[in-house]
Amino acid sequence: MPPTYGEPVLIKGGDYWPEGFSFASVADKGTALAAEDAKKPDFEGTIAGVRLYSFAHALSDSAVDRKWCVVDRFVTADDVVINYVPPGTYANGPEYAGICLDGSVSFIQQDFTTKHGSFEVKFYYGEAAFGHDASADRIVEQAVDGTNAVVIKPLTEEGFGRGWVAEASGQGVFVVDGRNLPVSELTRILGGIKCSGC
Amino acid sequence: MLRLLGLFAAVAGLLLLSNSAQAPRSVAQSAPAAYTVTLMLYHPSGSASVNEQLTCGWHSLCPTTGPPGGGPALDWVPVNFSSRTTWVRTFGVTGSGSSTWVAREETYYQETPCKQMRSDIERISDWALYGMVRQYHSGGNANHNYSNIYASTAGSYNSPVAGYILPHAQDNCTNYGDHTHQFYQSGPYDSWYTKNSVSVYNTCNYGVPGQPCGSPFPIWNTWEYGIQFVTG
Repeated sequence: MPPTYGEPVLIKGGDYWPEGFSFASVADKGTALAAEDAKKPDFEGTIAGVRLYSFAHALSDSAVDRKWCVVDRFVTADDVVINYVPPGTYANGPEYAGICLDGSVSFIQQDFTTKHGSFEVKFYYGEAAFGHDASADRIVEQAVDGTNAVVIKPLTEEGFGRGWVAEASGQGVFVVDGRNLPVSELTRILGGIKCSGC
Repeated sequence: MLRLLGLFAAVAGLLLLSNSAQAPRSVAQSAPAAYTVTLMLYHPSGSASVNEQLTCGWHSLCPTTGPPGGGPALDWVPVNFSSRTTWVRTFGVTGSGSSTWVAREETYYQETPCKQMRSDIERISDWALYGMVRQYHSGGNANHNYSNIYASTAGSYNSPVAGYILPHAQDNCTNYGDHTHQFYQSGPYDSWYTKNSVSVYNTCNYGVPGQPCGSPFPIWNTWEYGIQFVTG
């Protein structure tokens, strides 16, 4: 299993939502939108050089899934530098790499919790592709820090639900996978990532 | 922080109604109050009619090379592999009410670090994360799957479906055969949690992968984790 801290460690104080934010009304709206979105087909296609596939489709047809090696162990890593996290972020553990049976690196990842959700920063080596569960209505191409990226918006504008932003690179794809984070925070996290070997 | 919780085993014997897979409730319909809640996490597979088998005691990797009782996870398979379905089974106890809504749960699929179903247990008022129940070597199309967790003075059962145990060939992490590897990971807003130190959990297959240990467990027999949080 990946290295984790016994308890999440606060690495940035504050809160990314203003005082008085209406959690209750946004949650009611978000859970209703979740049910609506789940009725629509998951988007599959390539945007900003990143192939998006449906989780459900990949689980029923392995040819759709990206090629994963079998990870045999996890080691701490420092290749990916994350220069921005939202106010009120905790680290669940150090950055780590998943090492395949042949010794190659499958991915690098770090896991975080926020005051109202969580997110992971990932770099997948190999094909610029990852899975999701969103309809086409939630997916756009957008420039992030001068580079085209794919944005899968959360269920509400305020950020309720799961959202992703991703950017292809020479050796794979950077992915920020977040829950209850607005697009503005997801893109700021992505824009702050640096990696010399990616 | 970890602390012992001696009351769990006695409370766990009390059976009440299950609150499985209920539709999310509106916060506006039921303003949350502050309750101290103890949740006991039980086994992920099996069913009321099919017991489940422990195949690896507390570990990080199985066969474990650490000390017996070390590591955060237990491995489970249903007897005879009659069904691959997994659940997040919790038994909630609080000091007031007969069926009090105490948390929201969101279950979703993740591809890394190992393919898994993950269930976030969140505070109702501001979605703060009490903690996560993770089931490695599992998958499912349970994204956007919100459910409610209930508790009561005598205890309430919650058992939303999480997903299913992946066939070995679809997994992206080493494992010794089809099973699910369940553990609780603390978030910033739980008060404390503890692992059950019952003997078989500490000794099962120490140094040996994947053999059945002891008698199969009924699904609500012998909790795995005790978790406490305060609602609001």
